[in-house]
Amino acid sequence: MTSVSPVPPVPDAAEAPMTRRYVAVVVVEVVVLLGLWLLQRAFS
Amino acid sequence: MHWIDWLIIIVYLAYIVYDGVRRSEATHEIEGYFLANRTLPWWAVGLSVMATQLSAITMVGTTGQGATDGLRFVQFYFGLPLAMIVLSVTVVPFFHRARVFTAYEYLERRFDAKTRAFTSLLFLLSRGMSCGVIISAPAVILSIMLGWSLPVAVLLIGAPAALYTMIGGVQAVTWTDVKQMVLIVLGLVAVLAALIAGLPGEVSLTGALDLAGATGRLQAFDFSFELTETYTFWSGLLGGFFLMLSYFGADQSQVQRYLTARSENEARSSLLMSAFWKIPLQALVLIIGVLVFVFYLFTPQPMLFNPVHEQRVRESDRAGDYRGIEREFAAALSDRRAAALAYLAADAAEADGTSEAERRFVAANANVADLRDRATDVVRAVTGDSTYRDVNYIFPTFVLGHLPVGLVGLLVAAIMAAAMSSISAELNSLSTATVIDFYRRHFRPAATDRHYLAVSKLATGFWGAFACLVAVYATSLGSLIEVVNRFGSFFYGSILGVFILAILTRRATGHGAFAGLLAGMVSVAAVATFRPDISFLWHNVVGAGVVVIVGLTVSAALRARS
Repeated sequence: MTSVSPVPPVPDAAEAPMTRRYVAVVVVEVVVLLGLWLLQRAFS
Repeated sequence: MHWIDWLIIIVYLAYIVYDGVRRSEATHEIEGYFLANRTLPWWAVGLSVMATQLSAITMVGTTGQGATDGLRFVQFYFGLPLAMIVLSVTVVPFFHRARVFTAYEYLERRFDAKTRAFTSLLFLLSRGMSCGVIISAPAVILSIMLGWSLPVAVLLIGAPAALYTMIGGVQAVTWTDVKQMVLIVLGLVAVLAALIAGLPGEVSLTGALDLAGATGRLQAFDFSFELTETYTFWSGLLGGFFLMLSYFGADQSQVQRYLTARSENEARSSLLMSAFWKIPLQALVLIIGVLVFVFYLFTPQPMLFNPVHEQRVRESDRAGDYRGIEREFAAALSDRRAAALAYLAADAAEADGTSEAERRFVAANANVADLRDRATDVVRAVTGDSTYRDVNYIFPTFVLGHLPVGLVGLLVAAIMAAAMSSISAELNSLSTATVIDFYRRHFRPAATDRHYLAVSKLATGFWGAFACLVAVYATSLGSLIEVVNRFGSFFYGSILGVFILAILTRRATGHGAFAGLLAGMVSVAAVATFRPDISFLWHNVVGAGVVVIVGLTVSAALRARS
């Protein structure tokens, strides 16, 4: 019984990290949820 | 329907089949047929990911849910953006660099053949049946609303999708998904505009939202931590997070979408498109439902929205009861309309009696809902169907009865597009798993590419025919489908657990992962059986958690023994 390393082949060096895009996703989600919450507050 | 609406539907069907079939020119080998030679741009893949997730059930069911229950269902998607980030960081590079055709293929490289075969088989069983349900749900509704026979409705939706997927492969799936997604969004925006334009002169959009808000339909958040409440902020954020990880990370119908992207980052970008747009899109669908509710405050609505069931009640020995409720209902509708107008007038004048007027409107609305419940009980007694609800018929009734000529055809085409875009992706992935994980792996490992291409097309056709058959018999297979759906929910989170073991740990072994998978499925089945009140959104958390714990424990124990 062997344990195999889960590490996949070498990454493509040309691929730039997408950290900014991930931060943008979180920011947009917070803004959308805030909008829904304000809609709920304004008309309840 | 007007002939112009028919023309729009016919043009849509003809164009989408032509557009799909012509993609076969670029598909001469199996990697092209299943993965478009990994050359597709992120935006096309991203739209395909969204179109695959958005089925006709979303178009008719979620709008109905918005009309009856308001915005709370949007919480279901709160975990999606975070799941997409996690998948972009973890799963996408693994699958992309491993150059696999299926997600399960990776499990053999990491663990063993039995884990791959078992997970792939579970996928085939559940997706094969669910594909039938995806055809059946809109087919049943369209057949009832438009007077088509059920087999005709099933064939109108299922056959074109099966045909272009079979001939054009993933290229056909993706590029038709792009157009279908555009059609769906166009249809939704058009119906939103029609709803706003169709408000009575004395009702502004703010007034409409006031009325919806008074009945709690703009209540999008429920912060209670109740495991038995299906849609809460926490079940959506945590349970939804695990569900979306399973769906986008371990379900071949979605994994195959982003395997077609031309680079790792393009695959990530395609997933992030859903992360940005899914919640706003679902909110739009639900708000359309909420505005349909407001629309029916000022326009007479049927007491029940499913005309076939209503007809059965009228012909039964409970017809007298039903007519009695109907008389009360007509009076209740007129009371509710007057109360709504009085509330808006008091609100506009900021008069002292605003809260009293609001209370009266809410009570009048509750009375209408109560009468609908009583009528529903009569239908249940007459038909013997204890689960009967007519929520899915509210939006089609509005579309067919109140939208102008042209828009009706556009919306019916959009509902069909939503169904076909999901079906095509599922047929394509079912064929891939059949051929790559079973046929090529176990039966004919060394055949020519041409042979595999021919078998892949046959497999797509087989799954298309199977899905149409399930769809035609879905109403009589009701309990069987429920069993399959329940069975599916037992292993969804568990398969995610296996991928977590595969990607995030070095210590897990094949036997450990397999034992974990079985333990996870049994645990979820136990929770669902002994605590049926716990929301299904938590099943995935339980499944994934048990698989990881048992998988690591068994792996460690076996390693110590050897």
